[in-house]
Amino acid sequence: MPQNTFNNIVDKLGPRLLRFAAKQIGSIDIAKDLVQETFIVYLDKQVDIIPGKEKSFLFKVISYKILDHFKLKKHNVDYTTIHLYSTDDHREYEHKELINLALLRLKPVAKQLITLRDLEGYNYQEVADIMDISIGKVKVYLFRARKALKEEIIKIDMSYERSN
Amino acid sequence: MKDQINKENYEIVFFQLMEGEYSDNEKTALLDTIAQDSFLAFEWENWKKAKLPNNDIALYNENFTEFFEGIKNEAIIYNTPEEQKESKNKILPIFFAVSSVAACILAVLFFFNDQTDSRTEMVKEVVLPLDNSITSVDQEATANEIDTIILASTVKSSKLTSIEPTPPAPTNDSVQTEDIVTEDNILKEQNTIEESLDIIMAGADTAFSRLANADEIKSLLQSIDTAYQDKNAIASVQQPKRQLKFTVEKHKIPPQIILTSLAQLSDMNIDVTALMEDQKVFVLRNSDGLFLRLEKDGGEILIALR
Repeated sequence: MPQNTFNNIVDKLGPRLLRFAAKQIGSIDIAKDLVQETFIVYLDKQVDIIPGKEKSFLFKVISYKILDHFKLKKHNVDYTTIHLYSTDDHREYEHKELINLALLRLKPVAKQLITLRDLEGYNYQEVADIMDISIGKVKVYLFRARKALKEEIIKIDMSYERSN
Repeated sequence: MKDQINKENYEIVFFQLMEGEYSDNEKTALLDTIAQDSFLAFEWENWKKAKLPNNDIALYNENFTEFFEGIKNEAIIYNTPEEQKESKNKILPIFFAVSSVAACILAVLFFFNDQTDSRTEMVKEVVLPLDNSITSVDQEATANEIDTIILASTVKSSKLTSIEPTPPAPTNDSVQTEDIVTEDNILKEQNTIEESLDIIMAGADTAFSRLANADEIKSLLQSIDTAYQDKNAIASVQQPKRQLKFTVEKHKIPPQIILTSLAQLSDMNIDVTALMEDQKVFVLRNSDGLFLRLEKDGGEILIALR
């Protein structure tokens, strides 16, 4: 693969992969490790990847790596490492902080579904391909994930109000 | 329009609204309905929060440029042609191979250096027959030219039949070695060997004391060596060959034990016959005089020849 092609892929998809991993794991450092490992897999398998399918391949690889990370390690979320957004708008900042905290409390599969759908804008079929599940399951799991996320947001909101 | 929203199905409807599964008209109608119901309005507000904002990708672009540059550099390694990778991988084995060869050469050089740095320097080595043809040493090297004469009685055979001419010996100090293999049938002499040995040993002390020149030394050495080798031949008749070897060398180490007579060996409970079997007997000369040198128990015994 030409170096320029790979550089373009890194420029285009690297930040998305990093955000995708960081949102689920809650640690930028771990997310960087996973992104790096994902690109190494990509370089190893580059011959077998169908042109135009690089994005789905990369998100599939990093999704598995994130799930493996949660399976193999007792992951303790560091809630202080995920403040990576603009603070210009205080309400927006609060909302982003709130939803990130709530997202981290979800199960790994729920996190992946929401991030793939909301951050990357994948349709159900693409999400199903990446996660190796059926479209029906994607809809059901995504519905449960949104419901769980909403409930977590309410919990955090209520505890915040109590503390104040 | 799909089913009307109510408290039983509002979560599904909210989810579908968020996922964009309604047309614009349906969405507008649903939102009007939700706004008119306080419970649905409250729940909708919470559901709307359960969607991740997608406007922070620029921050990941800006804050991690160095990280992504590192990833790009990894591709350079992966895209290196296989030939170059192999050549790089060969560097280490070649280094080890060269190091091994160098280590072997150094070991060989060290070994030979250690050999040449031993306490004696070999000058000449000849093998003499067991008969009276031992005149070769006298012909080739005078006593003045030889610092030390080493008599080696190496028993290889009891059957010494032929005598080969003694090669000329060099007179310089260069390291040279020449062997003359002799064979003689000593079985005929077996009856007289024991008697000769007794006579020689009895008179050895006297003989040593009156040695004055190289001729006498050589004659004595011939007699001793012949006698002891012949005795060995008697003891081991089955050995087919016998070889007598003279080695001439310089001796640099001063004597440690000096005996002035063979009788002192008896006093030390040393069996001379056994001692001289199967080992080299050296005749050497240094600043202290002329000596017979025997090796025993890792040490050496010098017998002064006066």
